[in-house]
Amino acid sequence: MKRVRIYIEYAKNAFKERFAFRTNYLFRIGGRLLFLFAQVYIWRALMGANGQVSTSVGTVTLQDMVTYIIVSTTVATLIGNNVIDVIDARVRSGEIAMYLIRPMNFRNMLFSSTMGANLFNFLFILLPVLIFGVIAFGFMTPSPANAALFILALINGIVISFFINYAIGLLGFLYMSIWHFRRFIGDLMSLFSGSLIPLWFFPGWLAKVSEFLPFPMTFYIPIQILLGKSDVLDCMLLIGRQLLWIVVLYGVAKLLWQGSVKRLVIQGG
Amino acid sequence: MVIRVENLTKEFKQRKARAGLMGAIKDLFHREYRIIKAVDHISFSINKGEVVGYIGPNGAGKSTTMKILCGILVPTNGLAEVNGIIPYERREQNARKIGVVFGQRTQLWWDLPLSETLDLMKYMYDIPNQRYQENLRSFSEILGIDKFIHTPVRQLSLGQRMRADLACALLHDPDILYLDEPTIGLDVVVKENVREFLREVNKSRHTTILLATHDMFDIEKVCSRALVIHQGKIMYDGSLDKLKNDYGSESTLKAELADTVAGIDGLSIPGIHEMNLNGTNLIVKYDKNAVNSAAILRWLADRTIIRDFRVTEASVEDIIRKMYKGFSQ
Amino acid sequence: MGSLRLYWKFLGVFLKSKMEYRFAFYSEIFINFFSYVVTYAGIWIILNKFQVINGWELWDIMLLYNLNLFSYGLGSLFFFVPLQELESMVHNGSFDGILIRPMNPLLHLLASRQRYVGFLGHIILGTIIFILCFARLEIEWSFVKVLYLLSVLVGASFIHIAIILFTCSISLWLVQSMAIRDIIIYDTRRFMDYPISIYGTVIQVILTFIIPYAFINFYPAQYFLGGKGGTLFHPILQYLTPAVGLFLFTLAYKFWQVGINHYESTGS
Repeated sequence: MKRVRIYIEYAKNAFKERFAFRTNYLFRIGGRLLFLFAQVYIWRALMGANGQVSTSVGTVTLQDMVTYIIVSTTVATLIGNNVIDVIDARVRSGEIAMYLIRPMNFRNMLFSSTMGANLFNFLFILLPVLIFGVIAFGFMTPSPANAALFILALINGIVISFFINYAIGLLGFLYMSIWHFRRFIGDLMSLFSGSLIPLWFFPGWLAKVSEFLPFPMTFYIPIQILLGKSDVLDCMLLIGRQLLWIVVLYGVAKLLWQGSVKRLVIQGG
Repeated sequence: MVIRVENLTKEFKQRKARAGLMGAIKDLFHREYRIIKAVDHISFSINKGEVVGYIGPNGAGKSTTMKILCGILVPTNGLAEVNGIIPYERREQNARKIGVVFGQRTQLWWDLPLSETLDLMKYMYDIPNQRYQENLRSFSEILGIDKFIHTPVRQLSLGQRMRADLACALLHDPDILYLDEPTIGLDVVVKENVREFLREVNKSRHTTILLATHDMFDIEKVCSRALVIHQGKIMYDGSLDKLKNDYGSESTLKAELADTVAGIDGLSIPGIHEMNLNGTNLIVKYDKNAVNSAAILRWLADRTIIRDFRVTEASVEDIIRKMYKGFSQ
Repeated sequence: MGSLRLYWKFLGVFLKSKMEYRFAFYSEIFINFFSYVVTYAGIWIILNKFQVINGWELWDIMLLYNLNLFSYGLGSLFFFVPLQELESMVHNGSFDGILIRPMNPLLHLLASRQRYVGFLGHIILGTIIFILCFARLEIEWSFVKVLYLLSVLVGASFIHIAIILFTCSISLWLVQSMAIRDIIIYDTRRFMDYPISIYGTVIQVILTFIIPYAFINFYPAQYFLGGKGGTLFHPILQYLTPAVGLFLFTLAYKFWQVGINHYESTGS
């Protein structure tokens, strides 16, 4: 139980840290709102007079798309975490060695910090942007079932995103400079996560490729569930795929951590 | 007169943060400022070839003065003139004739080897090739920069970087060399090397040198004149010898005794200012012109066993503190 | 040696030393190249599905985006990284080292802080996309048109440079200016990904007369595409990019100079 207390402390600290940079965050909200604004206009222009289009998951209306981008823009504040930067900083300062000594799990500590930061993002960025977006552009109300499944899928998505970033961060420790690789993955993520373009617009062959990647698990799948584009059974399957990815990434992360520990012990950091 | 400063004043506005939550809210709407006089109506002049030590504690105004003389800071009031021109009005023109070394920040280009930076300086200052080669040779002789001239600057040790900065500052034969804490953080050997170099440069090229420092030994080994500044005002301007005699004569003897000495008040050799006995630790402050440590130690040795002792000369802070006592009387 | 000539000399030294680290050199370029290939893939996916947006088709949009990408790469190649560092240099006092030298401070900053070649990726990809675009689009080329294309690219780069210079100069006054810069450079610029004719009048006015991003790609694109999507405000806007670029750069430079004066009055 004491362990949990420590992790909560880390979460609290991350929250407080974000809170200290208050002045910056008004601009961050502004940035998100501008983005939202531009996207709504773009999709309105694309969907044109019809206001709807047929896709691989059925008919998608303009209202669907507007809801999609509002949710995507707001969820981005929870998914884009700076785990990689934190790991990088710890590696550079040599602090990472401390975590071998402490009776604490580095990964769990990072996760707690991330959750603390996310809580801040949720309360002070996501909520204002969401409220503004809904008032300005409207929102498609989901059924309670879809909403509940959405929350579940979103949590999975956040965990998956964390693991991806954590793995990259550890790779950075093992191979020193992974700035390029990180950006490379980030670019793939921006396309295949569905944050900008829902995967239901992808041509068939590209959609097939994306099924082998973990990226759609973060944005596309939760939002698709929220919009009710799949029936309950399909939703369960999608969530099942997410859980599968979590298991896989958990294993990968564990391997990388063991590799990092070995490297640290042999080279002395 | 190469440098002339008359009634020079520089004021900074500093934000005052009001206390408490109410204060923070008030600050959002109307900020309060306090005026800090970094330099307060100072006047002095320096002739060609002089080596002047600019002494003062942190925040006294040394860096501010130097920045104004270098032309990168504009004074609030008063006049600063270097070689007949006003440095902050003709920044580039002034820059050609000066060399500057900031102790903590290098002006060399981080990613390039030293040789590349020096080569670029040749073009920046239009140094004739022959003079450039001559200077490189003589710098290599005294500072030994040829040993690391091909190393990227970011891989240099602090001592190497400082010597490189010096070479770079003097490559174009400037009339005046400004140094802001050049020996800070350096080991004893490099410090001595730097001081030797400065003496040589002043002797052979008549370069005027203004050296801002905390290090009393820098002053002693290199400078002939001392300019003391405190809280923006010049407290002393005169030859170094006079300064040491007037203010730098108090030394401190710290001794660890085997056991406490009864009758310590009997230690009444003239020249002793202060005595403090705490158990077996003894601190004696005395005028080193009137009595030497050997006499005190002899007196102590006659009465007890001295486990360990240390003699420290007057520090810059001690001297300045003593000066203020003198001025306020 | 004059400041400008010194600048080119320094750049030569930088390039030579950068090319000694071949892996860094190539990977910087490649990563940017790949990044924007992904972006173009996104554009392709959308237009492949929707065919047309406000009258603009796939290769029209590619040209539009590419005008932005190429000019951004060209301007940023020389200005982005050095000016980004201004904030930390002012903060830790190393900016004084720039002012100490007998050289134009902006050129000195640009020369001494040049360390990144990644924007060549933008330029290389941009060139390829231009070739593809001009092959697909049926533009009637003339000597004047080619000349105008070149001056548009230069003019648009100057607009980007002006924005970078302006937003980074703020560091000479305020300490934490990064957020302002990010919002102007990144968030507002996204509006240019698609023709501004899709937005409401207010946004069009802002992007034309207040933060004139539209002169980077929209108006020049309209020129080459024969007034695609209808004239916005006035047809003459299609010809103004080089002039706007020069004008904005001059303004930004003056702003920088005022900032330097302020820095010299208040120190750090």
